[in-house]
Amino acid sequence: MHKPAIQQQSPRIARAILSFCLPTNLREAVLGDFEEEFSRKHRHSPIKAKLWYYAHALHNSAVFCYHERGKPMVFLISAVFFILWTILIAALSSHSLWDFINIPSAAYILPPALALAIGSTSLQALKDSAYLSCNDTDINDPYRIAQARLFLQVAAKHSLTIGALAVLLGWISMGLNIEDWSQAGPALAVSLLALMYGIIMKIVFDTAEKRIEGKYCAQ
Amino acid sequence: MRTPKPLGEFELQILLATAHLRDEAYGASIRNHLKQTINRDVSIGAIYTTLERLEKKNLVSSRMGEPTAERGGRAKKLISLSAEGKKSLCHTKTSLDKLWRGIELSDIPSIEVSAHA
Repeated sequence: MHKPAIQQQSPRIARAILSFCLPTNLREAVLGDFEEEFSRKHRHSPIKAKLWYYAHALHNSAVFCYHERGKPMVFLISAVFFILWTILIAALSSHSLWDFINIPSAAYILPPALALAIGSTSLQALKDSAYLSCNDTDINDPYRIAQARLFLQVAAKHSLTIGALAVLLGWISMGLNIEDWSQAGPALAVSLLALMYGIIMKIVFDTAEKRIEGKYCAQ
Repeated sequence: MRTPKPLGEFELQILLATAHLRDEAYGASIRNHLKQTINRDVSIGAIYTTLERLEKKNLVSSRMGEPTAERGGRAKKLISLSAEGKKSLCHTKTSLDKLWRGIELSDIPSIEVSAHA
């Protein structure tokens, strides 16, 4: 009895990496070509077919990743580099790095800034701004691009404003407990930390906004 | 009449492979054709990058074919030469023929000779 040919599966990990790196418009065609070539080679030698798939998929992934995701990668790397650099400087200028880490201060800045930016624009603008900052795939609707930029502008502005508000709250707290100076130092430090986080977030949001402006509005 | 822009070597090879393969021109078949005909082994990615460039220049057009089981249920991106592409091929062939006219390979000085000169 004639057995139907079993479709051989190409290496899953290599295929996933390739699929991630390919631009949307080429994904189906290129993955299909890889699959076709793989099954042709698999008939002669399964091991050689797998080695061929890994080698070519990784090579092409590197090429497409550089072309398609190079700019967003640079943005993400620069943002991470900036934050790590700030942490390093903080660690060098203090006895302990933990002096500069205060979760409540960060939590006081980011959620309200994002909430106010969503209130000024929409939840879709939040998604679009994240998508446009971290991807190089085009969104062709000028309204959505404008909304994404507005979202980042509002988030950047309010990060700083809320940071300044945190300083005021810290000073008020100090003023209310003026008789107990032992509380003044920590209150001032926490409020200034909130301002520092606000400035860091403003820089990141501003950079993301300028990236979208440079890509869509400079043409 | 506007003279077509000159083609790069790889662009020319891909256009010629597309012309040869006619209705069956797509990434993998172009790659195999180049390998079998001129023994040039190129990556599938390089072919698609060049095809995108040729499409931007209006030298080729593309359409998606039917998905097949052999390709894991994925469709082919079929390529065909445009009128502009045919014109560009003709122009390149005519130019190269003109340049080759009157040249015999035996007349061309070898590298060793030119190094001494």
